[in-house]
Amino acid sequence: MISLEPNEEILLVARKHWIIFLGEMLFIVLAALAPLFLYIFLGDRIGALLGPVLAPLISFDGDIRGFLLFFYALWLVALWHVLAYIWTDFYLDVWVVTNQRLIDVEQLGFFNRRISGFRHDTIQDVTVEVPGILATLLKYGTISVRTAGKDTAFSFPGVSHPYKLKELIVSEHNRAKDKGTSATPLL
Amino acid sequence: MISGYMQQPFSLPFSALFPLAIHPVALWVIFGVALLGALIMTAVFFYHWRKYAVGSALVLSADAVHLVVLGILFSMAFIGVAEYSL
Repeated sequence: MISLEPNEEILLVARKHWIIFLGEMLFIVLAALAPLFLYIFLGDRIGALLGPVLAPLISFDGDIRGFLLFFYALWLVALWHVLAYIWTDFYLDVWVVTNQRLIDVEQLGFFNRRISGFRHDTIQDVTVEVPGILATLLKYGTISVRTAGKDTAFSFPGVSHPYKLKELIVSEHNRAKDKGTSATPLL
Repeated sequence: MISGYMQQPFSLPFSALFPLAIHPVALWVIFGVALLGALIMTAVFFYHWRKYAVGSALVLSADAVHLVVLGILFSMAFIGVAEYSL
């Protein structure tokens, strides 16, 4: 939960691009389909190969198909939870641009998150990096913001519409500078 | 000198255990534990999604999708263990 100051309004909530989630999801989909393909295309061979080895060790008191369906369903349950965890991490990593601050919220797993905020007038540099053709076509990239008095830059990799975010941050920075009269606007 | 026992170390008593019969009750126990685990994880996910999702209308849909998918998967597991038990 982010607590806003008086007269503070949220202007934009920036999240990672969906392609980032899709890339992480691909592994889960493959892991979900792998047992199915093994059963359909190689089931007989695996049965013939492992049957004699397992027969002296394990005996089934019921229908083997029910046994396989049961464990496949539990495998999918486990994968579904991994996917939900990835989505949680993906969806709760946000940059919130308000009319006073830029707030970086980073989810670091369950019950563990880091929130950093800094005022627009402390921003010294905003950099956008769009790596490659896919990022250019789908409009995602990495935005980094360097502030006065801190050695490290705040970075948000894989953010959706980084140029739009940069424009907003720069315009809010310039607006904050105009209020405080000292100049050197960001470009 | 190698004794007969050393030559066949697993002849007794381990051979009496095998083949290990997988009783349907074992699957019901695993089913119950998995269901309990899923319920706890669901509570953890819902807590995070509802509390921390800033300005999002997607969270309620995510809740619904999560519950529907879990329902389908546990129905599959139930069918599997029921088929095994028959």
